[in-house]
Amino acid sequence: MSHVDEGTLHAYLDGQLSGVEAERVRAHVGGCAACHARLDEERALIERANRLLERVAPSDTGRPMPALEALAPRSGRRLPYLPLAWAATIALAIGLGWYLRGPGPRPGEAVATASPIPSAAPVAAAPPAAPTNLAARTDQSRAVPESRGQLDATPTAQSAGEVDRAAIPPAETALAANRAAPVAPAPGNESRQSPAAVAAANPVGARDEVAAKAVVVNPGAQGQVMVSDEVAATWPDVPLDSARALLGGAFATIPGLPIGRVQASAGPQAMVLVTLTPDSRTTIRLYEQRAGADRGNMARLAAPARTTTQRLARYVGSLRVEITGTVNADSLSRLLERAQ
Amino acid sequence: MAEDLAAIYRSTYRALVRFLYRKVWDAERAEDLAQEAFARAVVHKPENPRGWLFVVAANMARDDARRALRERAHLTLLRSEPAPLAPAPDEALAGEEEQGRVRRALEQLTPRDREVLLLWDAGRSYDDIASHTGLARSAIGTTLARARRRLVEAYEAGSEGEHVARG
Repeated sequence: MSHVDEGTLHAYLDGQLSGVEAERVRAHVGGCAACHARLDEERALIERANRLLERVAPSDTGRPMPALEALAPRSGRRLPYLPLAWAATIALAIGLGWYLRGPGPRPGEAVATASPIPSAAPVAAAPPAAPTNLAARTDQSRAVPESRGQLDATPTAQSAGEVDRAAIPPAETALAANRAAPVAPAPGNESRQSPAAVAAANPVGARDEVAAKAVVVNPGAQGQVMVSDEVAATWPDVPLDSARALLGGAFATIPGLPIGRVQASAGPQAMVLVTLTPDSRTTIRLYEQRAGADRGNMARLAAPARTTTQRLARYVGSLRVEITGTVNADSLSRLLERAQ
Repeated sequence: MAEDLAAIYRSTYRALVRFLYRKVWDAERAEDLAQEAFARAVVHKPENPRGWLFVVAANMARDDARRALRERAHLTLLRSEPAPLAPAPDEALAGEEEQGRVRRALEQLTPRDREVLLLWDAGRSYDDIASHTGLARSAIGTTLARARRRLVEAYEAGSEGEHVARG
């Protein structure tokens, strides 16, 4: 027999040769020093590769293996994404923020110009003016390239939110939503979250000015305290009514997430800070100011956060959203995935 | 069904999770996908459930990866300013770093080599791997040999590069 090739040696070592083939290899290797040496080399290689693969074995999630019956057929069965539902909510808000940052309505850009206004609705809660069906409006990717150059921490008056939504006839709003529909994901897709669960805020479109700003996502920053935390820590807790009074309306919150604290800064440009804690390691802060207030305070609040190692900046309408916590890269990726 | 799916579930679930994990890199997600694959098997009652499960799981993972690709693009767009490079790993992150090195090495393999390696590692036989990938059975040993060698080489190259970079 001629020398044994590499593939055969691996098949031999893997126990995947037939009895006859294996015997042939054994016989040859027994009498051929070169092949014997190669066999040892290949064995070492296999062991080395196996050890490497062992290092990327899945960690124990602690979740029991469900009974097969429990996995039984369910039409439209959804993958369990629930722990990330809050992330989806925020991600959607991020996506909406893109629209709000986009250029104002321009003729000839049907979707791009029509969408920003209805898109503002999911982040608007109170008062629920001009109810708009935006259930399908989750794909924000179209607006992204246009908005790209505008991503900075500076408030801009060039915002679609400037358009007074109240001035838009309901029919046109509905039309805009319809036009947006073709780019929306199919209903029932397991990775999509219902936009109905989207963050609620003051009616963006109804404000005299929308300073579209940034959501600050600070993943993996365990133990890393953002400066804005320190600033906000000094603010007194206020009753919910006081917060509403300061803002001249309801404050932003995210449906389904418990409100941890409501705080407010003092002064004529008072800011309200609502802290949500979706889980023990994650904090979401929603900073909000009365419509028409000077956004300078909020911008200054944002500035120190630039020093954090990883940062995604976004404001949604006039709402500043910060997420801090041990959001790992996977979760973050998924979070952003939901924005599409 | 030639074989009891419940028995296959017990014997193959962990292997399927292991297989999926190296594709989605999220243990819980891998479990979710494995369970989804079994849920589909309950409905479809495939003739060769094990082979079927791995094919379905591979497809689901591929869809997952496509989504991940889209979201990475999105992530880039959302990054408002150049993020500093990843912080230097401290000791607590050493294990994670190590895993990252292996993962990067694995991702340097060609898709076919990687698939064959992951299937073998998940306990599939050469016959199974051949029918899963469409490769000739006689090519599996050669493919595995190449995949293993490249994995080790890529890992070692990655480690060296890192030592140099750190000085």
